[in-house]
Amino acid sequence: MAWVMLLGLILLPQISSAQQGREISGTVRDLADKSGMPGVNVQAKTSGTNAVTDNDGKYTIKVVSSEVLTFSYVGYVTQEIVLAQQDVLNIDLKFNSEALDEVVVVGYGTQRRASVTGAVSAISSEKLLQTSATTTADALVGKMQGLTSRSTNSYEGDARPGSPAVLQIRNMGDPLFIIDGIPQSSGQFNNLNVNDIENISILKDASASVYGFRAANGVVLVTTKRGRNQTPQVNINGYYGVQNLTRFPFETPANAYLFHLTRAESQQNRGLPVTMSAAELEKWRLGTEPGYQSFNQYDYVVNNPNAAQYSANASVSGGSEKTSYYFSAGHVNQDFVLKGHNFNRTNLQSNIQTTIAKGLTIGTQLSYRIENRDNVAIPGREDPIWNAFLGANSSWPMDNPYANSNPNYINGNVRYLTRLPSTYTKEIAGWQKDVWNSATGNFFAEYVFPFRLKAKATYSHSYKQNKFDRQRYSYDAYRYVPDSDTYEVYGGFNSPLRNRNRREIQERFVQMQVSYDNAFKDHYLSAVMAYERSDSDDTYTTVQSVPPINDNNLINFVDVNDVTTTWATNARASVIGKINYDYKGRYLLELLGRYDGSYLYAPQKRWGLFPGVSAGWRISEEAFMRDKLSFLSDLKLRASWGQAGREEGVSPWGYLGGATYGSGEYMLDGNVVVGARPRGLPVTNLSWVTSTSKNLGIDLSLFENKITAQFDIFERKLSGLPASRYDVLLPSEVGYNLPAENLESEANRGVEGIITYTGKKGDFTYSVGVNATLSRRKILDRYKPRFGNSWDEYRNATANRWSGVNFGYQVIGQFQSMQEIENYTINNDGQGNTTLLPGDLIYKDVNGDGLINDLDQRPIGYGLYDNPILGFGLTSSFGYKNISLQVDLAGGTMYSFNQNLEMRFPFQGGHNSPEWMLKDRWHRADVYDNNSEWIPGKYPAIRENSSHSNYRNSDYWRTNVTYLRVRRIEVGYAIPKKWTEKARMKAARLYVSGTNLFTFDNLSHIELDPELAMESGLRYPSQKVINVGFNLTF
Amino acid sequence: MKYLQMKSIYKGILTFLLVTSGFSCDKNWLEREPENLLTDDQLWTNPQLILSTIADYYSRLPRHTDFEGPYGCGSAGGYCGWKDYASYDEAMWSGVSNFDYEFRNSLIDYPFNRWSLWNYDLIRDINLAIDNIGTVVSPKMTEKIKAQFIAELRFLRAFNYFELVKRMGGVPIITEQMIYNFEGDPSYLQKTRNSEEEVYLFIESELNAILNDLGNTDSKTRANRNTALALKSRAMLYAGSLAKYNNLMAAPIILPKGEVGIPVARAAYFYESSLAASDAIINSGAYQLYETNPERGQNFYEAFTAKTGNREVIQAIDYSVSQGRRHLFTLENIPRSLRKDVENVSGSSALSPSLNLVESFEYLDGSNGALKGVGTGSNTAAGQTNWIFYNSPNEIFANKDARLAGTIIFPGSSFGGQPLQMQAGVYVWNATTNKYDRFEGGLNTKYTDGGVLTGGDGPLHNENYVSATGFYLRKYLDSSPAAATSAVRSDIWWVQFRLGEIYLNAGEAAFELGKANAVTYINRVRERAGFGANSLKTLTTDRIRNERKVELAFEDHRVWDLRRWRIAHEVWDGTTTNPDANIYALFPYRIVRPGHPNHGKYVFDKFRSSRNTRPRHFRDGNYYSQISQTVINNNPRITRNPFH
Repeated sequence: MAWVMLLGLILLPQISSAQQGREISGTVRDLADKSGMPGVNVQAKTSGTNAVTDNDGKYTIKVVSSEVLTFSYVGYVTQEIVLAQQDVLNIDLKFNSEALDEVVVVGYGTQRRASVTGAVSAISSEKLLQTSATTTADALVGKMQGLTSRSTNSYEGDARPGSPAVLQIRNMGDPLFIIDGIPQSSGQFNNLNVNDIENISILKDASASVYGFRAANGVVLVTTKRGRNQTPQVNINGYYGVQNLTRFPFETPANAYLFHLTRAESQQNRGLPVTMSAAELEKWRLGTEPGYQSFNQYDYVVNNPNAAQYSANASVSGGSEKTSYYFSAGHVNQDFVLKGHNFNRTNLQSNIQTTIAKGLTIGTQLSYRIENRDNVAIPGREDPIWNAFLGANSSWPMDNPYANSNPNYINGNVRYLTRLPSTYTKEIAGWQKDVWNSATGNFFAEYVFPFRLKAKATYSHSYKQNKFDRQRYSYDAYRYVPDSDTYEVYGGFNSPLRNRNRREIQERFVQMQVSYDNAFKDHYLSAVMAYERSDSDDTYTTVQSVPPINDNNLINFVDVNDVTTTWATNARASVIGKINYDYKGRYLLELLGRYDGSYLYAPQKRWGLFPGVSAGWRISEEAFMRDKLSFLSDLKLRASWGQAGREEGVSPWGYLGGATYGSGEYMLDGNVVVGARPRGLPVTNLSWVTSTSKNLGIDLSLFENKITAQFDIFERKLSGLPASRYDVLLPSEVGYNLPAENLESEANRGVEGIITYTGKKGDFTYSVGVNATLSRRKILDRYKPRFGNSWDEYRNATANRWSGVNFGYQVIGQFQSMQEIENYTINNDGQGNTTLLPGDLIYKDVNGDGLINDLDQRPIGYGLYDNPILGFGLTSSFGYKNISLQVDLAGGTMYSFNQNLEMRFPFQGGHNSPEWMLKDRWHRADVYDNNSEWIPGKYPAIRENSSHSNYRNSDYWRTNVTYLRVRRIEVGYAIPKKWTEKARMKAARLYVSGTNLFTFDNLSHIELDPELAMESGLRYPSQKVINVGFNLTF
Repeated sequence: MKYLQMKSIYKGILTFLLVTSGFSCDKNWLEREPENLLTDDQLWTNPQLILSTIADYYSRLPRHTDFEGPYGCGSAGGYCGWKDYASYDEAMWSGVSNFDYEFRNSLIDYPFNRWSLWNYDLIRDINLAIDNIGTVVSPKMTEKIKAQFIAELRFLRAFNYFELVKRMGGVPIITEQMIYNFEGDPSYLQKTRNSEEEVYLFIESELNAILNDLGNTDSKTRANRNTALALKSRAMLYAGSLAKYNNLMAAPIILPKGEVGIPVARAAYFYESSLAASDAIINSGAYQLYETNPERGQNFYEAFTAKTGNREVIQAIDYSVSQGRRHLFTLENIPRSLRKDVENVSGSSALSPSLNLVESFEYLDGSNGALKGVGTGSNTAAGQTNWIFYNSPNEIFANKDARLAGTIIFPGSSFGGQPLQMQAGVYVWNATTNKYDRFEGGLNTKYTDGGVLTGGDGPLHNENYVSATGFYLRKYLDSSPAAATSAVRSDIWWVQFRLGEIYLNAGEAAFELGKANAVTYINRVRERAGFGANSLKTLTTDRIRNERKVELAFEDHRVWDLRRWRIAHEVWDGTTTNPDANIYALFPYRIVRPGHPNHGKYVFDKFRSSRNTRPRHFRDGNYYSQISQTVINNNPRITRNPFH
């Protein structure tokens, strides 16, 4: 269909022939020293013609009447000038990319920074490139206000190679990603080649709502690079680096002696006889006799220190008057600190556009990428990395990974063979390959009418394919027979598995857009109307077999034991309108509206209208300000209000009755019959959740833009969250529930700001920016909540409260002696204090009833699986002649980490525990003498009993995290021109950088990376990376 | 000229708008066809799809301790899976020590909402199917087919009501869809609880009514005439014993309107009804006890694992590895040394059968099953006085009821042809103290004399994935080598009704009715276990109860039997001194006393398992499970059960 439309545009009557052409000429100078600037790109927006300034900064360009000219040069503020009747136009360009006349990409167009009325943050390619991150999200961390991040805020995620940080705009949830005008998945966003990105804008308030559905959580707009009318420019960038884990709580597991000693104490502390004899324990302490050695299993798991990371990228861009192009190829490779695991990605990008007739431009952005994730197929949970980390503890320090320490023989006489680190190789455990192939093509045609009306049609098609293959091998393990000096098979892994999963996703997107802009004396008006629609389908097939041999990768029918297929689709459509008006550049107004339809809702509830409005007042443009407060370069007040729809709590076809086929399987008369289950009551009253955003902002520039600042205060409210109307109480005996309706609401409220100071003293240039975002979610209305009693309400009510508040006990100390326990009148453990020992935690009896129970729990922390409520960052750069230094910091606070499982219980699951947990504990001086004195320590006396009162949820195990991380330090050296010219290079730069070198935080006592969320700590932490790299321009 | 130009411009815009509006008017864009949904028209006119619906209903029938059941299970939930066998007295938990599993060993008491069930969603779906099938007009849906489907649906509904009544007491009997009119006042839909007796009578009349329409003759998975009779045999026996034994309690558990509590006068009626159903099955000749393998222990094991030529099984929940329906029971319960795979949190040895159960199996001479010559495990001379020094680890189990070997793996046994090594440690003679000193090690350890210290199958006191009682479970364990791998898994079926139970039901009902032939039913079952013909001359209540305990172990009967006999609160009284309420272990040790005749022999210690930290505690309020506050909020006419 889209092709028809494209054709329609191309075949439009050729109407531009009668236009009058004229020529404009002038000089472009550097504002600072008034010298002519060569190589500045001059573009006529309407005619689509291009020119470049010569060595003296002079240019000539053919234009039509009422033309807009843009002047752009890297590192300088792009200027847009509406032509009057002149023939000569001289321009002074200002250095500094932060300034007011910078062009910012906003919804459905661009705007000068000075006329933006919404809350928009932007970052340009130069700043993005200063990173060793392999995902786009990681490259953004700490650099913009309004953006919070964490390596992961979920149970599953972590910071492994190829895994992006979790970005949220104002903590509102997953944002919508728009790449070159097309909505794309977060995977597509994160796996962009950072070198290909021209700029990124973040729309945070009503300005996002122009993107309608799924934009309720904010929008990340990415524009990829275009060519210019210039001679071909070739860029080659590359780096090589080494990575190590920042911190890992299980880096030093307890050694065999500590293991046995504390296990014996555990028996002693529970009143059981100590099973290990003193003589035996002494042998472990000495560790000299054969069979009494200790092994640090972590060293066998994390066995690839200084793991390599490298990237290489080449691009060429250029163009002529009519055609511009940008081609690039990039490859990034990142090894894990575990041998046999690797992530790598190749990106290809081709952006071309050409003017084929007067006013008619067509173009494409084509991208292709291959993502490879190679892993050892370690059995256990689905995730091999998790399995590997489990090995650090699950294998006991007494377990020799190899029989008789001979690396040819896996030791079968161990506690837990499949978690034995020596099996973690592709040769033994098997292999796993996860490959994404993704091709996206955007095709557009744009026609510019001579009277400033523009029509544009875009079609985009994405094809994504995921191939997942895994083969788990069966293998034998061995035992050494000393008498005959031989090895005999002793156990092994006998559950081989072959998986082949295929996913294919097709995404289609069509957009038609008409826009108009013009200036009438002091009035400037622009308007956009668009219609767009998209759909996708996603098919997934899995095949599983039990291969009889390890050596064959193919699947034979006789071995197949599982096949599944799933399918999903979606379809959406919208009509969008937007009008911008500005009077004298002083009073700014934007109106926008959007009419969205989604396939998720019943036909009569399908469409929603979402309007928005924003206004700005540039006070600094008023005469009374300009005269009196001349140090104010710019002062603008902004206010916005807007709505967007959000699809929530609705499942596809919930509005249909009938039955769901495939609800389960059951065997009848020897045949498996696929089940069909009648559906519940159709959900016909549910529609869009409405997100309403309010924002007040101020933009400030002082002292010739030396200081720029932006502050915003905002609220994003979700109303109409789905809930059942339960004041109509349907007897449970009817057997169905009332369908959900849009009844509840909640809000995110917060403030954010950024201040940047830029300066220059002789050859010394510097720029320092700090930014921070505070945003917290509050539940507003719950539909008529009911509580059994006031405690129930105190504990479980959510209405009008911050969300993510965690309850637990408050620890006020530790018992110091048995006597103190005997004299203690409060029942601290619920069992008359009979289970207590010195060192045990004392809970606060909040309600004073002499008994510690649920009623004594109080709020003790923030959300565990959230981004920081307060996130902050600092970006700075310093330059002196050819030397540059960049320092970026990022941090966060107001979120919690809860130690649990391996991080809380000694010998969790019967496994070993980290040394820090076992070493510093309360214990008796002599493990064989119950009357020996107590030696104080940090942790309570060891018991293998996770239901002991010590291990209740309390603030002892929960840390309210604060951290500040030196995200990146980079020292660069630009090779002087006289040398580069000899090599026919335009520029060359070398640098050394360090990522995550230092972290200041309050989790060092458990050796945890503060950006992880998983309570057991068994996740791949952030890496410390040291890179050397180069940037060459030809 | 100018005019022309303008005209062509408008033409251009018009073209664009036309193309655009062509898209906008495409109303079907958002109308997507689901691939996995069936419309009512498709469903009810097609017998094959109705069978799919029936398959869905079978899979949703509540079952307490079958092979499936969700992770963790928690403390409530009517549908919990085999892991809950570790909550009673047949076994304890020896698998992973996560609290989600391990809590069964330290359960303070059974919560009142344990076994709670109020699954009217299934009742609604069954009623909906009955309504639709009854009214559908379609050439494929002949009256015969309709009648057969409706009969099968009524069986499913009766089965579900039995599950409801045995847990909750009387519940509202809903036999038609209840449609809410969306006018804001659903009070017209509020029904009251029927009496417990009415629900049992409803089950009986439903089952009687469908006998001739059910079809499915010889099916072992779909309900047929005999399945309905088997359900009737069981349900009516429950009703009879509830009527009798509830009223024998010091304070019978009753509610004024009979929501719980059946008048004692009704006992005979229900026992008669049960006996008649049992007799009908036995006399039909369609079934016979499985007696194929002359090795009686192995024969009893095969009665559950053999699917071909098995004429004992009346109905089972079936699995098939080749068709992709399989379960992890074998993987999770395989003895430690035979485990093949460690996938997820599961491992091996999850259920450790209790010594309590082992000792319930009598000796073949009819004497009490308590094992002879076992020590107390106190590691003192006094604790060792009772020892008998056995020549082999399995000698102590000689001459026992053959069902023991078919149900339990004990020291000295093998499984699937693989011998197991169960030895907890050694006792070494200490000449100075004149007693044996006990030594225990980790798995697969050798003592200084070169012999085994602790075997590869344990037992160990407090370790994951190894028996904590000295026993492993054999019933249902799949001996095919791949069954213990997560890739393949097992397709042993879950037997829901079998002739063995019917004999015991008949024997119990006949005994309660005072019929002289009661003992012949019981003796038939004992004969298969190796006791010889007519091994019992007379019956007692205790004999019948013990027979059910050993014959039907791990078949989801124990807890329900104790409830209906109203002795659960006595057997599991929550005291540490009551041997029935605590889980006991039996650990085998090798004697090290070179030069002495006892050297190399085996002794056994019996003690309360250290991993079972709490006695079982069943309270009066557990006889009927708690009706949740939500159910009562939704319908205030529902009365609470006693004690809640």
